[in-house]
Amino acid sequence: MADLITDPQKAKLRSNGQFSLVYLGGDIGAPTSLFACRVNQTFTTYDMVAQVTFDGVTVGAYTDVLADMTMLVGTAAGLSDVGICRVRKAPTSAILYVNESSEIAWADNLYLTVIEDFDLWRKDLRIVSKVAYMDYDVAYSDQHTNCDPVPVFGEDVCIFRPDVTIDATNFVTCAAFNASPSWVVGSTISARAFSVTPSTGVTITGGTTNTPSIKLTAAGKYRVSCLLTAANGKTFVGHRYIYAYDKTHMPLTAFVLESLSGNFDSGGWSFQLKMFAEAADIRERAKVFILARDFYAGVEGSVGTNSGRENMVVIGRIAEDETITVDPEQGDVTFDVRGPNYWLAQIPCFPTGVQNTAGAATAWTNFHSLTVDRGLFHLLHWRTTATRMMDVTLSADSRIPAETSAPASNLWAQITEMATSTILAKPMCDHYGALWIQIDTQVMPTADRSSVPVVMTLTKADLAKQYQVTRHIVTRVSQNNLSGVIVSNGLIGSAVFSLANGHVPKRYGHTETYDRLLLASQAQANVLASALLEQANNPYPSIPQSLAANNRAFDIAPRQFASFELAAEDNVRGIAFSGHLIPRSVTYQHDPKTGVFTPTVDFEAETFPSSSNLYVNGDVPNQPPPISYPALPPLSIPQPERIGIVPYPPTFPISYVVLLDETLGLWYCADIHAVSPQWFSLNMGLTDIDMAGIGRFAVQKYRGGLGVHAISSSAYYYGQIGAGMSKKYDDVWLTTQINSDPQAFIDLAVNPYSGFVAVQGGPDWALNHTKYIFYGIGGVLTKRAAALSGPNLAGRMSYGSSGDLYITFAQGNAVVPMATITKNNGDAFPEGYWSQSNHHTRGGGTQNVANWFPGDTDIAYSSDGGRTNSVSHSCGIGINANNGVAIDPTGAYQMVVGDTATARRTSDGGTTWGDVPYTFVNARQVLHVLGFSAWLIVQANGVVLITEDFGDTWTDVTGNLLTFLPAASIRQAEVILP
Amino acid sequence: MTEAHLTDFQIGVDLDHMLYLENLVDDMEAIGIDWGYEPYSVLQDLADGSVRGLGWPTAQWRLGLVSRAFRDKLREHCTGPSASVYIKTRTSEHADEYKVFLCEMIWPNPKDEGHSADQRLDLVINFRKLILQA
Repeated sequence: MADLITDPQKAKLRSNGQFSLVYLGGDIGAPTSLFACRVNQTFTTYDMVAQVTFDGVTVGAYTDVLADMTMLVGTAAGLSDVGICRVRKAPTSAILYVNESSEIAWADNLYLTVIEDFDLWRKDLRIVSKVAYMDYDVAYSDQHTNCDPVPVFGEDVCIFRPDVTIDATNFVTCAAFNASPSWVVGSTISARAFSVTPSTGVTITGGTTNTPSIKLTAAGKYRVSCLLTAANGKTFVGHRYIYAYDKTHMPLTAFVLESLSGNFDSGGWSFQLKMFAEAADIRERAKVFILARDFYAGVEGSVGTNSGRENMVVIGRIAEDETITVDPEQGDVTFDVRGPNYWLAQIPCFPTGVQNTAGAATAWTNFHSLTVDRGLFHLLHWRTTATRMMDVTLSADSRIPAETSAPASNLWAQITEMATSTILAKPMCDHYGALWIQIDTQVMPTADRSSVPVVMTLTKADLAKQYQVTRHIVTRVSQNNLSGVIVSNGLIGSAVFSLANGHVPKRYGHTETYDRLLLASQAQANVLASALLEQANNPYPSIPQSLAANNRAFDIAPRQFASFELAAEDNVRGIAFSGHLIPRSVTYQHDPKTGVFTPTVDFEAETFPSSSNLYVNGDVPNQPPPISYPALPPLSIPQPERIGIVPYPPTFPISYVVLLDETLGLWYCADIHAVSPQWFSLNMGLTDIDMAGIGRFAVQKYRGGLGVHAISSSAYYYGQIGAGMSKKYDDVWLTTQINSDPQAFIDLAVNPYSGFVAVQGGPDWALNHTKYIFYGIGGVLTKRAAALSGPNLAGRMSYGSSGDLYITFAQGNAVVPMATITKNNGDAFPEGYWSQSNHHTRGGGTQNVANWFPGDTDIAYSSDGGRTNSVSHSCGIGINANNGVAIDPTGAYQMVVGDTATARRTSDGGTTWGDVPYTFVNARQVLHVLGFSAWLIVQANGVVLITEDFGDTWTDVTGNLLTFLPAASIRQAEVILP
Repeated sequence: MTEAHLTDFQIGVDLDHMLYLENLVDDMEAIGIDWGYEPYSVLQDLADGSVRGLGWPTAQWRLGLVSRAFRDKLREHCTGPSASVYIKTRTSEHADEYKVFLCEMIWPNPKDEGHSADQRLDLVINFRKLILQA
């Protein structure tokens, strides 16, 4: 196969007189308003708003507005100071339909501006009467049987004519779009139609072919839309842009390109810009790109492999971190610009999943002949806007999974989870912003690698005089233990095990394990095990090459090679190498004083699975896997009504359940409604002593973030679901914050709406000693100024409405009350109350509180956050010391567990109590209320039960928890609700 | 640096309005100009032992003694630290070769300008980012 870089291009790259002029283009300055109007309604709540009535149109027509366009909400025309949302479908003459959101403070007469922009957004799932809707109101009909086509026709294009003003005489032509890579699951593309907006002065030739030619007679920003029709009758349109600049419409030049790099590990590109006065024109999250005018031998003309985009250096969006130098004379600002991989990783999302079905798909949660690609299509097309605004190319892998699912917490992690943990495919974004999900070259079968192009054969004339090669001569991995499952078309699974290189490890290195992979055959598994082993022991994992040319041909995606030879006489070790290199990172330096624009590419040498059969079939375990070896995925189809993403019962969706074990710390589950819920450790970063020491933890219950806060008596820990925990503060720090006495962390509470945590600290061994609230978010605590009123022995805390922070203590006396309520998160208006108990449980974030003593039978109910209490009533059993009482948000429904087989319940606020009709495993139980009728109990044996009918029937959701916690002793349970 | 005649060099803000340096002011006396031209900014050693010239061409005009009026006329083409201008300058020592470029004119730091009554001494104008014009 010939190099992608042609011989004439190589001659340019090897010429003298190379330099580049770089420019900043894109959506700079005020955004292009497509439609502007004002809100024409009042709102009783900002929560879950999904449509807005409008009037007062000042720009455009509502028919100009397209699905997935960005809309600004502001207090004046064109502003976004109130918020930014997405148009989720075409509007009517009076209503704009937006993505369901709770983050915009909607108000009558606010200004709405739909701008010429398609960004990455999450599309949320909504459940109504047990029916799932995508993107608020899209019901399932046949979307997984007759799939929408996915436009892949190239990313944005920039045309720059600095020498003329583009007009009818000096027109420009764009032939860079090519829709032939477009695809559709289970069908073919039958027609395509290109259009350009605005259309004035635009001529499209071949607009119904894959490769249109677009003639422009004026500079400006043009939307190029590609409407695809599939043979199954479905249509879908994608949008890209042409930015045309000329002599009188110049891109920006007053900036410094401080850094620019793409990296395999991060999966994309980023760059930094230093700007000066023009920085005021940069809008947050705006799309910008670096454009180059390249000169070789003094003659202008760029070199690249993407025809029509050779001048496009990199595209991204302004990220959130700016570094501003405040100086009235020489002020500047440095912007971070990031590619789509970064933005996908910033978007939180709910767990997603699709199951394979033997028959035709019947719901959003199943797919006939499911593959990983089909699962990814569901995720990227129906749960995001990716297929609308960027090229998406999938793996083309045909292995069959029983399901594709991802509990991860952001879109990039979900894509990675679905692609990497099954078929070792990896999502990557190239420098144009296109998404590639491909199996890495190093684990491809050798025979298939002939399809991987060689970008360029690198000779000594292409390289700087001196470069370094890292050569590993000791193996790092001694044995690769690989396992997975083969699922046949009949959806029957069989486990497969492989060992490379055989049962006896190599002399050096550690053992690596790849498990739960999706495999095609035993032979394929064996070769894959060997390929992974060889890659891990690659003697040349890093060959950084400084290319002595303005060569932008290499990228981290899609798959590609460089050919390279190292002669023995060129190095003192006499090492020779001849073969392919794989680019893993590319870094550019642009010198603004010379125009020199050269890359450094870090290559990895290609490796191959062993040709000497240094692999064998693995051993099938004859006993249940050890704790460190999670179970294989379910191999048969679960009950259809219990599968996938639709919560069951769907009346109360749950994002995460988090448990605290007395010895093995924190564990979480992201699919509690699955047939076999999977539990994961949250203890990464903790020592055994840390894990066993944690006494309490707290999460944000509503619209939950992922933050998890925990305390032992001597430490405060913070972490995030999916990422583990770390110790943030210890008792030494606490002592410096209060006084010289030994101090302890006593209790904590997270505001269920804001996510801020309040941690109580002070001497919990002494009556009347001062305690303080430490308050913060993201693991950073700050001491509040005021000491707690009437501090006492350790007690419990909770957040209620109106900012109440209610604290009950373990002991009081005639002077010191047993409860206090503060506002301003522990810093103002302390109120002392004569609580009747040291423990309490709050109904969500309401003012309904049940006060109780561990071991006692009495419960006193308060409907005003603890200020006044009802007469105590006996619930009939001694209350469990941990989470023994749960109370729903209405306050009327309460449930109690003790150290017996009986749980008790009340539906009248605690006046009368009766038995829950279920016999539990006694000794210790933990209870948590999920919602108005949903409750969760963890029994003494670690079995987790959920009821959604106030205890009449219970469902076992233990899943694989006891695999990890065979001697579970659960101290606390909390849930995070969507 | 090689000396040449001032009459052969031109400058202007666009291609259609370039002026010979001698015509910038009336009664310009014939003076010489030390000129320089480098086709590359950087010389890069390559792995095969050769050298590649990278970066844009640069040029320099050094005027040993000019009138204040001439200096000010030249300054009108570059009122800030730098400005985009067209120049015609000599590019070869061995041939009488002149080329026209679009380039960035860099005005010297004021402290580097020598003063003598109504004259300016050793005025050095650097040009970089030279783009050859057809």
